[in-house]
Amino acid sequence: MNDDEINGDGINDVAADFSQGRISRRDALKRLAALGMGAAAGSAFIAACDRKPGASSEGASQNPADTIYRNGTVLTMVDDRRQAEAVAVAAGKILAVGSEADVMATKGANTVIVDLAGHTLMPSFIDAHGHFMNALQVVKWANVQGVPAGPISSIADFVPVLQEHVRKLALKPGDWIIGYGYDRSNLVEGRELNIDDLDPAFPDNPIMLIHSSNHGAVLNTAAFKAVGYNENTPTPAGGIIARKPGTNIPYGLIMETAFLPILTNAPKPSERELLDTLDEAQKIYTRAGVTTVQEGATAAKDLRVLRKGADEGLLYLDVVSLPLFLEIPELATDFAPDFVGGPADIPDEAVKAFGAYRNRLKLQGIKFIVDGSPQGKTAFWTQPLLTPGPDGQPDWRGQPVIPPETIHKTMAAVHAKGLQVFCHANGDAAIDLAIDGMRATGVKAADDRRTVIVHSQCMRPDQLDPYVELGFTPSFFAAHTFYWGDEHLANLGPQRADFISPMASAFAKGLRCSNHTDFSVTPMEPMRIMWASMVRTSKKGVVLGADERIDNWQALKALTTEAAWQIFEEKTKGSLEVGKLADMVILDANPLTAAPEALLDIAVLETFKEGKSVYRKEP
Amino acid sequence: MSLPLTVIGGYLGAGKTTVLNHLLGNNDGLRIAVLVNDFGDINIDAELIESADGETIALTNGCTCCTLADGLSTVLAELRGRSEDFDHIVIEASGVADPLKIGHIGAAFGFPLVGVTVVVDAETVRAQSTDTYVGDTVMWQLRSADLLIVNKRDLVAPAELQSLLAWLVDTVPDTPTLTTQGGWVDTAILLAPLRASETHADPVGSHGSFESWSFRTATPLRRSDLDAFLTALPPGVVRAKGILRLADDMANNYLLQRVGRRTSLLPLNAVSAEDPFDTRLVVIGVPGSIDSELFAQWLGGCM
Repeated sequence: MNDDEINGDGINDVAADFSQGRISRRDALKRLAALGMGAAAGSAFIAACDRKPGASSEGASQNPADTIYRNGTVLTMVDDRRQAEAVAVAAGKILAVGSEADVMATKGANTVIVDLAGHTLMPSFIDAHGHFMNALQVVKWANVQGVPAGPISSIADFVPVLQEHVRKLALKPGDWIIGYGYDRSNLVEGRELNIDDLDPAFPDNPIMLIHSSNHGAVLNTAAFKAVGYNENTPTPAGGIIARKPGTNIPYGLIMETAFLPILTNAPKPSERELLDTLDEAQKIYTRAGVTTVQEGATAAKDLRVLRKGADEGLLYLDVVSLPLFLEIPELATDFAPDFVGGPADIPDEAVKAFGAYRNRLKLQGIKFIVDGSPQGKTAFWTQPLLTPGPDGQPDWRGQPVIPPETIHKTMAAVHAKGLQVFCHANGDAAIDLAIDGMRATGVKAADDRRTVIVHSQCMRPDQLDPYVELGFTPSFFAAHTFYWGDEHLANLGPQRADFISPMASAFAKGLRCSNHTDFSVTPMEPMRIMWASMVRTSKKGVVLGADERIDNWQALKALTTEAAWQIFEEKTKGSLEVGKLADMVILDANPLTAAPEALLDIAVLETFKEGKSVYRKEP
Repeated sequence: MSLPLTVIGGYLGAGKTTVLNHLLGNNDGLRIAVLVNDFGDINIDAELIESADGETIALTNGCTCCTLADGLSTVLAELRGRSEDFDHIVIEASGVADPLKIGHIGAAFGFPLVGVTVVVDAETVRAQSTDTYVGDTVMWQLRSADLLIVNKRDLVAPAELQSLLAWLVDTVPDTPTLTTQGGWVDTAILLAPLRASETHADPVGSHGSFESWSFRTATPLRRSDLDAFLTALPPGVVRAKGILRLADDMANNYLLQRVGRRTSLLPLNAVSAEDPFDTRLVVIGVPGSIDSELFAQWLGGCM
């Protein structure tokens, strides 16, 4: 099975070749027949494709544009013709792009002309890696992250933010108030939030503000009462229960083993409740100009929710799902009911479900996880950190989270089945493990398997050549230089910290790389991560690796063309070219020419999925 | 009473699953809930299987084997509501997990940790301990162990085994270590709690290839003296268990559990008038580790 078939591009290839005049009608029919399409269906299909755009006046008169966008900057994201004057869209696809005169030739009687008024139209952004299932949760939670990811910079900020949340969700007394992204390091006071800060304003609503590590939370007194924690509750081994000074009363913060049972026993949203949040969750992306969304670590039960949402027609953005490799056995039974086996035994029935959108949901590849996160010190490095491990361990260099033998065996099996491998690896030892595992399969760059190394943060310079050799493509997390840059400098020292997400070196080697938010680890802000990849400046203003800064064009490609290519969608997405999907965004300024600091002020005015407006900024 | 929890750890391939297979087949009358990462290598005699669904296999001997597919904390939260159905919980830690951390998670869900047993492969553990990828992991697992089981001893030469045991003494001093093959470990050593029937008349008995020593007294023990006694026990003592009366709290009976170097002492139940027993204690160790005269003297000194 070759990749084209896996990804369902075979028929689209024929369509593209035919509509762009590269092959004749007869050849197109022959190739469609070879792909299993009957003669009648083939003819109908070709008729639908027969839309000769732009230059052909005959085509224009037969198939006029639905909409033409003009009088602004058109950023095509095509290398040798970066900008154009206008774009025509018909039936959700790009009909023409180029000079105003050529594009206007596609105008028909009913064509709508949109005046861009000097704004910038470009391909919408692709979420190269993030967690869509988190979006379904956080739309019901209060954002208590620090500025700029959230609104918090001091203790006094919490109460008004939570009051606004109560108002927005119309919560009643007794309802839980859940917040996410709490972290003492964001507070000017430098102390933990406590019950005395929260209780006066919230005597009746239990509050749980989940720590940015997801390993703890701050609770108020109503919440402690609800979970049964009081002054007689002992602090469990491996946990923390902060106590009010001079007393044994739980004071707010609970961590690790003191938090885990609380989290586990917290009521979970039903499948229906999750489905009901799909619209709000997709708006997080459309507001940011993103129309292809990633669910980048999908458990089997989450995939059931997504498939149900897709079948009910609730998705209007494209969702790319990467099932977790350890979930293969459970997932497999959804496709092959009698399946018995381990992750390395993925059955063919399940393999067939990959590679093509069904009702806007696509399974693209299998997600492997080798290590944890550098800021949590759970990544896996070859050299020790300069600071102690998460439990105070000396000479700490982290550990793999799965035995290497298990990862390598499953990687080989998944690769042999023709599926794309996505491998979470943050530390250089974890990256070595991914390199070893894929090298053992015999894969070469020429095989075009596009193994994605997700995060690929703490690389060593010598790991770039194996990436080239094996056809790896990194999805970097460049905004770490901003959000956690100061921590990385302290933990790794300048030499290693400066090579975090080395985008310039990777591009220079000819690697194709994307850049991601890892939502909801950081907010869905394409301009923020573009900026970060260009300035690499920490919150304290320290530059991490000035040599690894990239220019506007590279930074934009990492959010568009390269991200599309990584998921085998370069023929339909990532640039404004004839025949591609009209997935587009209008920005109020041109990010290609903006100074880095000006990027953060660029606003999304409107977002289109296949020509249809899915977000429009309030005037 | 809360269900006692034992964690079985060790790197991939050490033989954790064969240990668990033996345990499920030789449960010594205990209803054990065994939580495993997957059913892949679990090999339960078909005649023993009472019922099975996706994540759970119920055995005719009262044991249940359950996968951790839904996550350890979810499974533990469910078990909280089924405490009456079991006598003991055993968790198989994943091959790279720190089994002590797994034990702490279990304890946080209300299951007191009574032992962390780490299984090592006699053939490969020393090489693994310096492996680029898993060396640190294997070393942390050894340090987390209360009791070490050196498995596959039949696959190495006697001299090599002796050298391995010496290395373990150097690496993790004071950690009692047993050797075995084919993953066979006496259930009584691994997790059996004290039962009423186990009040031996003989002060010194045999327990498979182990020696045991039983002690009974009508005089309550002082907590500080008991602690001193437990601290003084030699590393060859792999197991101690008992129901105790403590002078510090005469209202309750206490359950003492010692697995390897870990001791837990928990209130068992309120002392009742009909209670036929006073303090009784069984100590089990490798041959040569039991010095009944000395032990009696130590405990006698407590009174």
